[in-house]
Amino acid sequence: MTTSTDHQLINNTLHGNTQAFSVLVERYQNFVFTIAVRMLRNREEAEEVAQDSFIKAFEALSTYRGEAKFSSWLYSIVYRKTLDRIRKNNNSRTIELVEEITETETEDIENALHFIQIQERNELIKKGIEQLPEQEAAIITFFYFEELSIKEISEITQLSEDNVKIKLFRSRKKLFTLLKYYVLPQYTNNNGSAI
Amino acid sequence: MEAPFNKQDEIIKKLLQEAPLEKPSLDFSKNVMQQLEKQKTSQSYRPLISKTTWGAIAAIFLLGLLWVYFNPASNMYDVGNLTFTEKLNIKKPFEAFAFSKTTQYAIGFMALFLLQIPFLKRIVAR
Repeated sequence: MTTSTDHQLINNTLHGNTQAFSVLVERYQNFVFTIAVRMLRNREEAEEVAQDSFIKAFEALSTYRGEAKFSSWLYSIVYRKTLDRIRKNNNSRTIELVEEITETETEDIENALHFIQIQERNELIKKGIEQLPEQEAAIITFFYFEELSIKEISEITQLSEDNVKIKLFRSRKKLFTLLKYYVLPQYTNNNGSAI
Repeated sequence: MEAPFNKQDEIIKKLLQEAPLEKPSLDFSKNVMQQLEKQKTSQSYRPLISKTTWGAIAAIFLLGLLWVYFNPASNMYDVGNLTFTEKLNIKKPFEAFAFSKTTQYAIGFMALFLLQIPFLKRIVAR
């Protein structure tokens, strides 16, 4: 059962075998939940949204035409559901803080990161993503973690490819600015007056 | 300008890929499946009058129409053959028909009763 492809599982589900869908849920629950958490920053709400997304996916399964990957189709559902929830909560977030990072600073950041324990690095990136606007948090996860193409991301988010690229570029810059603050506090102190 | 850019790209990629995925609660998939089961049972809607019954009703109605069309009542006034003045002089068929006071009240109250149904429904639904 574990080796069944998404396609087989979808077919089984559509033929009335609801249990086949639970395999799909287990297969994608972590990533779907991660997207929701990174956008919402609230585990309880994210869990609700992730559940709703799977239920929505189940209901709409017959409309899935198999043109895109099932995962992409699923991500577009969770992405939209999470944005809806954020709009409902009316707590969209933005950060203005963006700095130009020089080549030497980039290298320093990289070196500093080497000396940090992996747990701390994970904590760092988590904090960084939490600071990003919700759309960018999702896009950067799709791009770097799931390694989806710009085209796929633009289909999921319904943004133009150029817009996705811009958001990706901006979120990378913001993340680096934040990383610099965490990893190289001495730089920030020196540059404080210049900001 | 491209060099630090690619470097940043690499660093972010590495950081993001080594960051673990967030895990939902242990019974996440169980909850999803339970909700699906619940929906499946509540959504199985069965219409009061099935499609075949509707078909039968439509067939009876159409047959009735056809029967009336092909067997017109023979002993009725032949309205088409009357002159204009004759048409005007046709006695009003309900002229002699009069309601008693009691019937009028009864109809009035019946109308009121029907009128309040939507209001009552709205109150109950609230």
